[in-house]
Amino acid sequence: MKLNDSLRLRKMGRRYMIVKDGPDINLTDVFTLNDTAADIWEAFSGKEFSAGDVTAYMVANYDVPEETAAADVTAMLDEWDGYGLLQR
Amino acid sequence: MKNVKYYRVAGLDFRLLLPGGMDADELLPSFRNFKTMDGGSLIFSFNAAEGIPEGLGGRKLDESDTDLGHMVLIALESGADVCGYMVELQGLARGPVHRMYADCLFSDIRAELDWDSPDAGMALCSMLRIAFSQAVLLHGGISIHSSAVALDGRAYLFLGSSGTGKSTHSAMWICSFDGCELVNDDNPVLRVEDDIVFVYGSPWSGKTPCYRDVKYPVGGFARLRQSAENRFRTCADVDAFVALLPSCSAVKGNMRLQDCLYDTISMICERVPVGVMDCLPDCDSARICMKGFKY
Repeated sequence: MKLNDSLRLRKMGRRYMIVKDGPDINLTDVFTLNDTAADIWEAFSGKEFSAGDVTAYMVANYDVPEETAAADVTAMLDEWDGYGLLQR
Repeated sequence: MKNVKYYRVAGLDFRLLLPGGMDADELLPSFRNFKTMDGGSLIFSFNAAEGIPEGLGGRKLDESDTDLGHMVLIALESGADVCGYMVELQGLARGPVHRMYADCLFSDIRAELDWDSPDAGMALCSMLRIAFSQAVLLHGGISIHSSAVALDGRAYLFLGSSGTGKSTHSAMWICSFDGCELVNDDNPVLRVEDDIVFVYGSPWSGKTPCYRDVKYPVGGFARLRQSAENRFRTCADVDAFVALLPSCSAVKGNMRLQDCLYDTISMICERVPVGVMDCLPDCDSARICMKGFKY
């Protein structure tokens, strides 16, 4: 999978967001990302990757056991996919 | 003979070509304060004298009814890519359809209007508003749907969907504070210059004839919501962005223009107070809103 390459991560003050066209002409969706999610977004921007790659990145960079990381990553990627933030 | 006029709105110049013999001041009375001379670089050229390109196909992006009439926006396609836009406007009386063609960045505009129709001037004014609202994005500006007042050298902008009470809230400020005056009642223009956010008057002011060529630093934005009580809530970062976004427009799917818009909104939110104002249509709402901006 890849991140939807038409989207850009933006920093507003201390928070991160992604702005995306909504399903309706007059609607725009604004997604907020926490620091970890934003870090993952930046690390995998423009690359082809698997859920395992993200889990390995989490384990290497954050103090988190592999099982916990794998579950968190699966939940996050499912959510991103549901909102159209990924290209599969 | 060519009939060419130049206008400057928010410090940005554009050119209008009309068929020979047409009187621009009569067609576009709200533009009289915005006339300028040839000289500056142009953000767009609007040619209403020579027709529009033929044989363009596309898909409908938007269709809406406004108090000015019916509007259809079409994305023109060349293969898989969007190569421009067509706007079709029809007045309330369901008279002739006026058409405007624009390239992807709204720098080259052509229009075909039925000059015999009584709503030709209004259609031309609307087309120029649409063209300007998109072309200005590349130049760090935003045409923002709002009502703006000035007080003590600063401007305050009130946002909200139609019917929320933007004009009413401006009127509350004007009757509550000595020296407070209307800057524009529908479509002022924002620009960030040397780190300061400015608002400019424009030739587009909705139903209120307030076409002033003025400029003020912005003191605050309030998104208005009708309510049973007056209450101001300050918004920060993403919430401030979300408060401004619905009042600004970049053509859907046009990443270049959208990127410019989001960059400019972000810059504005970092420099000017933004809030949500729950309000009643009374003078107290103006005082509470003003206090909200100060603290």
